[in-house]
Amino acid sequence: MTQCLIGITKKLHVLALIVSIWSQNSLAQGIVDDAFINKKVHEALTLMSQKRPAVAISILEPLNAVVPNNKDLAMTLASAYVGFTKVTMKDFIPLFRKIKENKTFSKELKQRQNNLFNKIAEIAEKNDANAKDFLKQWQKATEITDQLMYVFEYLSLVPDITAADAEFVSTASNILKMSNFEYSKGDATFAILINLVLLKHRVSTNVYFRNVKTDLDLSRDAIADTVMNTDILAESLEGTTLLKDDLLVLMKYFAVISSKDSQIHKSIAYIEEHWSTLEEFLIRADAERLNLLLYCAALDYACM
Amino acid sequence: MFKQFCLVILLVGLPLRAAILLNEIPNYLLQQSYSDLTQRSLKKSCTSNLTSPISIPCNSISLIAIPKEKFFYANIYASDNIDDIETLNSLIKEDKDIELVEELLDKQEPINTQVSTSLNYTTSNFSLSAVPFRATIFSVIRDPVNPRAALYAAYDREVKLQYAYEIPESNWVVGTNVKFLHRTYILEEFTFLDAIFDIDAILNKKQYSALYFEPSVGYFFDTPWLPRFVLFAENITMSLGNNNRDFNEKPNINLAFGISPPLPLGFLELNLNYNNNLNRSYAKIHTFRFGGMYSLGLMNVAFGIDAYDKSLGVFSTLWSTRIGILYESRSLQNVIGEDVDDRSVLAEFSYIF
Repeated sequence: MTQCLIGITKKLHVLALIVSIWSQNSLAQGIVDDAFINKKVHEALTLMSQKRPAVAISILEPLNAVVPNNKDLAMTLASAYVGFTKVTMKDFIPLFRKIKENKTFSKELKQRQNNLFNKIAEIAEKNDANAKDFLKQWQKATEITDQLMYVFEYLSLVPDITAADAEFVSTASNILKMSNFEYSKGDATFAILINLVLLKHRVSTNVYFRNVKTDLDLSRDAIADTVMNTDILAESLEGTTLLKDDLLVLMKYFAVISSKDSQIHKSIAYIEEHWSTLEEFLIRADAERLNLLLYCAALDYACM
Repeated sequence: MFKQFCLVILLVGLPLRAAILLNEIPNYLLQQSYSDLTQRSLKKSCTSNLTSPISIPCNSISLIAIPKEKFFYANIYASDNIDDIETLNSLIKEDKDIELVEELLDKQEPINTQVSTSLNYTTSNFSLSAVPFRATIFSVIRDPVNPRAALYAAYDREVKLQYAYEIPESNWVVGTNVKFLHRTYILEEFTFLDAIFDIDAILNKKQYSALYFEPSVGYFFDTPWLPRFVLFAENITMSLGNNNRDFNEKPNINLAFGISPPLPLGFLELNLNYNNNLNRSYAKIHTFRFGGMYSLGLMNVAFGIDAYDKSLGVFSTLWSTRIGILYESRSLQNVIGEDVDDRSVLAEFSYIF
């Protein structure tokens, strides 16, 4: 099934290339004006409602290659790629519901964060004399981790996708990344949702921290005392760079929906400036332990 | 980060969307609406209509067929899917009901609802009707992944005067409608995500006021079948104030032919209308519509058919009340060239004073 979908996508790209040549001719002839794009977007939206994203993509992809900064075009194309997965806006209703309850949720979240930290500190103390130190350092590492905790808390309400789906969602994310237009809050929120889906997938499949087993046996209440070798470290750093990039993309969209004086702008600067602190910490400490903490958080503290 | 997301997402305005789905709003909804279901059954074939019991004709010269005595009646009609308004309202409300919003996302068919009330007074050559409330709501949602909606919601108030004059010792009749319309409306396109967080920034209420002048002239042959030719210029509009150009302000020219073949039982009339819409941006510039009406005792049936629309209305009058039901079926072609059926059922109640 996965191979089949990837095959279809490849064929679509070939088709897109052919239509792209036609579109470029059309552009040269001045045919690709706003009215033409709007009509094509309308066709694609109708096809999306009929659950025919492949046809929608075949219409929009070549146009987007020629006119990459048309908002409606790029947003609809990104949406069409997500349309290949089972994810629809309805899947985010639990997340919206949670956001609606946000006032009490923030307090609850803070409490749960403290509980998590205490619990892990307790486990660490029981198993490793240096672990407590490690946790303290980690806590200090930056407020990045706090930001991550918020992200991961919400991730539990973000729908899961398969590896094949992740390809499509990643393409959707890239389309938006490569476009340059003024986002409305709704557009930015859509981009956030796409990237959250991707982030969750990457967290749950250990893309960011590939040296850690996915089937962590956390019931044994222990943190393995792994000695990192160079290869593992390199992989870890590659993973953290990807995490950094993904977070910065996410925060760029958050910045759109935030007021100018909000914390988010400071956070972006902070991450850009201090991410190396986290990486240094990773080298000095233990990537596996850090991942364990993130993994716990991502799985809604299932490991507790 | 997410805290900020939750708090600030509610605060700032939104850039408006390009009009893409707005093209799905049927033209007939953006034009003037009918004051009762008899006229709505006939639609454009009402031009040469003569025998409409308890109904204000669309064309003033039809008044000559109205009996000499005056009558006054109140009318209300509504479409059957009126509960959809509540679902749609959930999207517009500040404190959104997530379950209703969820229900709305499931709807791939457009929401199309109308409610109208009118007070009418008529004699054989004069009528006055007032529409204190007429609401039209149309909404379509496309793309389940990042749902995008077009919404047209209008609240109309209208006053219409009709006058018909039979030129003495001739078979010519001339007449006119003069109508004032005030419309408060929303005509916008937005994504679900724009709506769920900041609907107020999207739904700009606009006002539209216009004065309409609709002259007509008819010639009636004095034979048992009463053949007649009618020329009726609809929608000659004088826009008042700073209106947006959201509505058709070009005239519709109607040329109609009607007959009333005598029957041993009941009354029958058949009408054929040619309509030329001078708004060239409309897809349906030229249309022929055939319609008719049959009345027998307390019952009457009105129907109309053209290339895009079929309507059938059944009405009954009993003492001071009149009830009716109308079935409409429209054939449309969507943007990808597929035929789409749009059906609706409306019910009417009138009280005659």
